Amino acid sequence: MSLLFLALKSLRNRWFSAFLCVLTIGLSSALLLAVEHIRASARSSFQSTVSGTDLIVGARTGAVPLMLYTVFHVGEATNNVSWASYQRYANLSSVSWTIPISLGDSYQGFRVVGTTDAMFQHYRFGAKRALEFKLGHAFSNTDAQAVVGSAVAEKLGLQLGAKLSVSHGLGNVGFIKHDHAQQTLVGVLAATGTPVDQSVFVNLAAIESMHEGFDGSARLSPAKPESNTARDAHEGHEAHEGHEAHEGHEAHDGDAHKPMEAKPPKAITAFFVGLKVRPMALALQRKINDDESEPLLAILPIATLQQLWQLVGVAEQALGLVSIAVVATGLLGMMMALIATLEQRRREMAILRSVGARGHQIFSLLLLESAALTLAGLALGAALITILLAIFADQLAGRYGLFLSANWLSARTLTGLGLIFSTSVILAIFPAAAAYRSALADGLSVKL
Amino acid sequence: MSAVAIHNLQFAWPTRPWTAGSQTSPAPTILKIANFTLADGEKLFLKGASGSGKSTLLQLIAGVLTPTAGEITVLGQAISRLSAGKRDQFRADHLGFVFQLFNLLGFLNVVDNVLLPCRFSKLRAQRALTQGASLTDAASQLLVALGLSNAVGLPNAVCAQAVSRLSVGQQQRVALARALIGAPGLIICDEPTSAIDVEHRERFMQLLLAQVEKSGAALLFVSHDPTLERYFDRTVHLADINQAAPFTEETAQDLVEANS
Repeated sequence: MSLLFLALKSLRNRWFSAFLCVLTIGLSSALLLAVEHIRASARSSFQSTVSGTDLIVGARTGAVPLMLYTVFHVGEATNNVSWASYQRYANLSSVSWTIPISLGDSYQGFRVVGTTDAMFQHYRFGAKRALEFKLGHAFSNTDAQAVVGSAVAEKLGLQLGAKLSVSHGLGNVGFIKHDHAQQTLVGVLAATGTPVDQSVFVNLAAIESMHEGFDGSARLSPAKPESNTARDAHEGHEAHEGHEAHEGHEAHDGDAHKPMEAKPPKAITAFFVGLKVRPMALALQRKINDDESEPLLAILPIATLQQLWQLVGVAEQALGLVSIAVVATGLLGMMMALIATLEQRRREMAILRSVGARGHQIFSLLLLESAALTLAGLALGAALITILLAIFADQLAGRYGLFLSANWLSARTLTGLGLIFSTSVILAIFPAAAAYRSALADGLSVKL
Repeated sequence: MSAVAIHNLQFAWPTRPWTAGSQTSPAPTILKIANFTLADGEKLFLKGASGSGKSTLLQLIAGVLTPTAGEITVLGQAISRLSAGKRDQFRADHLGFVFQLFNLLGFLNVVDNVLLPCRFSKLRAQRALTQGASLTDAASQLLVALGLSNAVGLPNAVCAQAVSRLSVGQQQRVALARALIGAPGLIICDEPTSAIDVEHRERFMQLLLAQVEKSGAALLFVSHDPTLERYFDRTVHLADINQAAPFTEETAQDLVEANS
């Protein structure tokens, strides 16, 4: 008690250097906490980029590339899935729903996903959350309509009713513009913190029609869809038909295009599968992967997400190491500050010895000072991270889709704080031992 | 019982463990005292030039150093036989010190400086409580008795004062109050007046002797200033009782050669 009183009084006397120590430890521990909290949040939001989907099926490639281009919209598919194969699996009795997607087009640098309204009914992310509309509604499947993610709407300042001209290819300025096939914006999704926010969704049929309209293939292959197509695809087909027949053509001044025969796409890029009975996923996966009619790959999203995170994890670990190094620097700085003052404090120690302070009490005094500085630093760090989270959590969520909870306390962050504290006390043994030795050697008289 | 009793004391600085074993000659004996006694309540002037081993003797009596040979008894306790921790506790309980300079802790106010021994000794704290209604009150009373309230203002004002604002003479009186708090049996002063100018020295000595007398403690006052002799019951020249070879140019030279 007396020692604590002396330690605090002594620190107050050296308040500026003490303040700098506290600041150093505060900032470095806040950094460590921030890195850990962001890491944990990023991991959980990454792991829940897609949920509720039992299988993702695409042309045969690696599991990670398939995950990357279907869910994260990174990279491109090298091959497609034929419509026939898709139909075959979509109509299996064990399959509850499917979402076909067709990639490869872009709008102002954002990826265009050709799909059906099954996307808005069945796609899930996070804790099985469905896509919600901030404005408008899903495309109606009767017109050339589009739905955009929240980030797209915000960055491009899109209003409902805007006409989007989709470009072929993924560049910011598409090589070939499908000006003849403008899509009307009918819905804006609420932010999800997933790549959905960066996506433009259009009718799968519309994509197909504009490509065909462009290269003229529509006139060459007027095949009718089979009668037993999946409901979604069927509707997509009809939407396409309606669009071309009634509005699209007239709206765009003909544009040298004749009304086209509606037809299902020849191929899609990939499709998501939801099963009626979840444990069937492995069996179906094996079945698809062994499909002899077409080289396909089915992946379990959860397993592949984990695999992918391990790749990303290297950067995460590097970041963690850097923040640990920063904390270590802060603690070493404090130790140096304590050691630097010891020479000036020899007189103080001699006075304490003269009034009966024992050697171990001198030792404890230094440990207490270090502990007090560290505790104050950790408190500052905790306050900083709490304040920063309160201020920036919303912006991070909006801008980068990184959802950070206000509560940064976790077993790992608490362990981190405990480790910082104990490391600091252990490091303080050095100045404490130095003070102990010099106090015993000096005795009551210090020859300065 | 005497306040201090020394028999056949010898002291040489211990050879450091990391130099022991080399062919260095044993360290020279600094103190060799056959007999020295300070009676209870006695006020003794120990006179000696600087370098004569005065500070070393005081540290031996304080229990900070231990004799190479012989025995030191302080207030009936053979402190040379106590463990280091017990010697520290004994010092906290029974000894009060005033040094030449820089007696006070700059980060404590006047009262906290005075009460410093009470933080390390329950005995001193208990005895201080018999001197005043509270520890702060006991400290204030001592400060007033030492004339500090007159110099700085109201007692309460001086209590909370930062020690750095005080003059050297005032600081020495605060140090004296600290030595006296909780009525230790022995007060040791090591050149306490040498930093005080002559006109304040007289006043300091009078206050010192009056308060020591009032407390009943024995006083061991070390100085090289012969003009202070007149205040004391008895004077001892350290050179007269110390049979060790005086520390001269010659011995210093030997020491340097021995260690080179």
